[in-house]
Amino acid sequence: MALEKGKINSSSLIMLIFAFAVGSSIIAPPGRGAGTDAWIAILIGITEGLLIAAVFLLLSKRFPNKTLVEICDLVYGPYLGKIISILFLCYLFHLGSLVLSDFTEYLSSLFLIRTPPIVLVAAMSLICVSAAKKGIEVIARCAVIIIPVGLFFYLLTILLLLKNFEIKYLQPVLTTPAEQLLWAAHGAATFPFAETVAFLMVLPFLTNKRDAVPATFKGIIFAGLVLTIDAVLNVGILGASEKVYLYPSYYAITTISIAEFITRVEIVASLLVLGNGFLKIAVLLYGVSLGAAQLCSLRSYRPLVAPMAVLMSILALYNFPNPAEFIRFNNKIYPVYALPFQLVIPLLTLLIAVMRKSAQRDVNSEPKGRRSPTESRRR
Amino acid sequence: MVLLLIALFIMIIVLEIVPLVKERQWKEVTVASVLLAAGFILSMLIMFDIDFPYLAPVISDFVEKWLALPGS
Amino acid sequence: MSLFPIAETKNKQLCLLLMILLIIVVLFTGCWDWEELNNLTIVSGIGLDQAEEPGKILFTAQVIRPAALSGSGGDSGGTRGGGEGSAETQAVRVLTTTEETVFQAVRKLSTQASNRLLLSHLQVIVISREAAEQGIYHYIDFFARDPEPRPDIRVLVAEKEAGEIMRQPCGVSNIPALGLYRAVQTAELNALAPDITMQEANIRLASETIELIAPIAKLYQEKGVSGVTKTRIDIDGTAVFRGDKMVGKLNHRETRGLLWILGKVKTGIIVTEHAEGKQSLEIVKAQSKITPEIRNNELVVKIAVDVTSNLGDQQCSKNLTDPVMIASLEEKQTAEIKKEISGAVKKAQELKADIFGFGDELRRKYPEQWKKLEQHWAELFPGIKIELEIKSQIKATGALIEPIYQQK
Repeated sequence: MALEKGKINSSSLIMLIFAFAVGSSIIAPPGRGAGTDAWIAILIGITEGLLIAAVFLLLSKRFPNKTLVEICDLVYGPYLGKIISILFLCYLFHLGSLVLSDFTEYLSSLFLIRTPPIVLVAAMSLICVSAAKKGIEVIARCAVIIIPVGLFFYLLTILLLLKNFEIKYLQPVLTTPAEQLLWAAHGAATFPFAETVAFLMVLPFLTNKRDAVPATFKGIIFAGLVLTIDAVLNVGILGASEKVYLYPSYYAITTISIAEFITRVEIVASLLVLGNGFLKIAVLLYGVSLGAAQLCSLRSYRPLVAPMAVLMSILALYNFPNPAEFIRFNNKIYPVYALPFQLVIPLLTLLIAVMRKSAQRDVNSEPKGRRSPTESRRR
Repeated sequence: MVLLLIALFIMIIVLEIVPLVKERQWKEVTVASVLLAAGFILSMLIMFDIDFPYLAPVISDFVEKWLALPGS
Repeated sequence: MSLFPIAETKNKQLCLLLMILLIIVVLFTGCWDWEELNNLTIVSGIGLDQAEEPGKILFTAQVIRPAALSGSGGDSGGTRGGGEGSAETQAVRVLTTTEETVFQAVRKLSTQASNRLLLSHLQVIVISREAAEQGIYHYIDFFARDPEPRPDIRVLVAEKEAGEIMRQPCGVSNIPALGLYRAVQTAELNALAPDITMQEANIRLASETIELIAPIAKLYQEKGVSGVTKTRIDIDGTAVFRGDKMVGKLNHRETRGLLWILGKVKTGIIVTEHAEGKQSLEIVKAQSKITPEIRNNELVVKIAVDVTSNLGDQQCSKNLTDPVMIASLEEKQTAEIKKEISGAVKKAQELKADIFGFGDELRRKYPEQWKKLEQHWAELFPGIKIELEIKSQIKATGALIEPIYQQK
């Protein structure tokens, strides 16, 4: 029952996790609740994100060749397991549609104003379908190509931005009330760092299972640093007006004007944004389709990708009626809403697995083996 | 627009479902067609101007109702 | 099996597919959001006045006529900007309308312009003093909210009517608004007026303490080559706002005082009077630092300015380039800068507008005490004492080491 024959190595996993965590966060920077201390909130958020990641990594270490759907089957038994799997897949599905609508909203309010959103959603999900159908290996290879190019351009724009940067806008440091800072940090942890919980559907395809922990951590830390730099730049450039912008990073980049010659570079910087978005949606689409296929014990997940993408696109169009709801959801609701899926499900599964002493038995002896006794028993 | 959508769905059916039917993978056919049918019905409803509630406010209201939120 | 048969097909099919894709890419670029240059009218400058009717906006847009820019090159040079020359040779046209809101006016004018107005190349927004005194936010929200205008648009206050500024030529540019855009930058370079972009205006408006400033554009008469008097635009002085309402202005000396404190003086001429004549000292390097202090319930702001200048010209025939003379010139320069800075601070305190960002500096240094000061800042600001610490240095004396003509 090998639904996925692809393999990814640790370096492409780092890239993929980086893309996933940066994802739409450059559009809607995390930690803004903390005002000028946003970057501190993100740094705390990284720590919290790593703790949450540690939970699902431990779970994945206990069942190295299994996706969450299979793990749930093992731990909770066929019925309860299926319910929990469905809940988790619903979260991934919703997350995918959220990312899709983030991108559509971004594109349609800044660049393609008169293009109907449905076209943007369709265009984005079409490439994601194509990538997800090719399997995780292809998505990972895309990441290896897209991320360095996108990062190069992004770093270039950062260099150009330094001219407008004023360190005094960031001072005084740490004046945000502790409660507000921690809430912003928690927001940053749930969006985007802990969203990497979706990799419970991907980690089993890692060539060397020992790399899972370092690669995930590296990806999250790396992404966290980029987001921290982004937050520092936004406040350092937009000053007191940072808090009023819907897309502060975009507005920070529009201020680039080197000798009135290098101007209007925001499209270039958006390359990384779009690339990351594509990878994030592709991974989520892949995860949902694979999970659904495993849930119904199908022989292939591929036929499910396109129908899933259609549903995801429809939901993406019906996520946010206006930016006010977008901000309310992101700042207040999502940090609570996401927790059950990001932390509670993996933690509960891990605890029950430890208590029931269930684990995949042949793991450490043959790390590359794809068949496991439990799996063959189920067939 | 409606025709375009129908064309899209037919394309998906031809490319995805028909090969499965040929290979007699009935289980896959069932799951994929159920999903596709759901997508088709939903998109047709949208096309004919049936308003769905937006999801985020529904979740927001739900979460706010059941949890006293800190911070904010 | 697959929606995209690239991986499974042979080369021939791949080529075919690529060709189809290429054709699609070429034919279907930007289906919805395409912009043909022919179908756009590029706005270069916007003037905003209060209309006669209360509550309405008199909106004046200067739009570029590409045909006039490309055709008939150079024959009439700088005189082609608004106001003169036959209508066909002018590089710009000025459109006017009176509407309730700015956005409504933009849309309304597109019929006069016969095309959609494109704001991506907007260079300047000029707001009349009258309108600015009633509140500038009435007018400029649109320019930050709409994705088209850039954050580097220059914001100016017109001494009288803003619409008139849009109609008169500025500098030698074909497009008056572009001339104005450059003039503001040159004015700041020479420390004559602040150069305020939309971006800076937004920061100052969003901040709770630092107040908005803007350069003032005014009209003056100039005798042309043929002896005919023409109206031109000049930049002079600074408009001072409290909140979003203009409350007063700084003259050009006070403006330089403001720019010293903001650390924005790059170059400029300081005139001193010494030894029976005047001298021009050219500023070549200037640095400034503000440090606020709270001393026994008194707010003191230390302003340290470090200036290097060159002796640029002298009127007297005495040799000023010996060390004693240089030292006294430096003293004179220090005194002049002190006068400028205290003049600016005094004026700002009279107007109760913290245009220097003293409040922000205090918040940075004393975040704890600031929480208490914050509520009374409007009353506290006029009582702030300043301490000046100015270091003047004259580094060079130009190509001469002593005056050519020396009185014996």
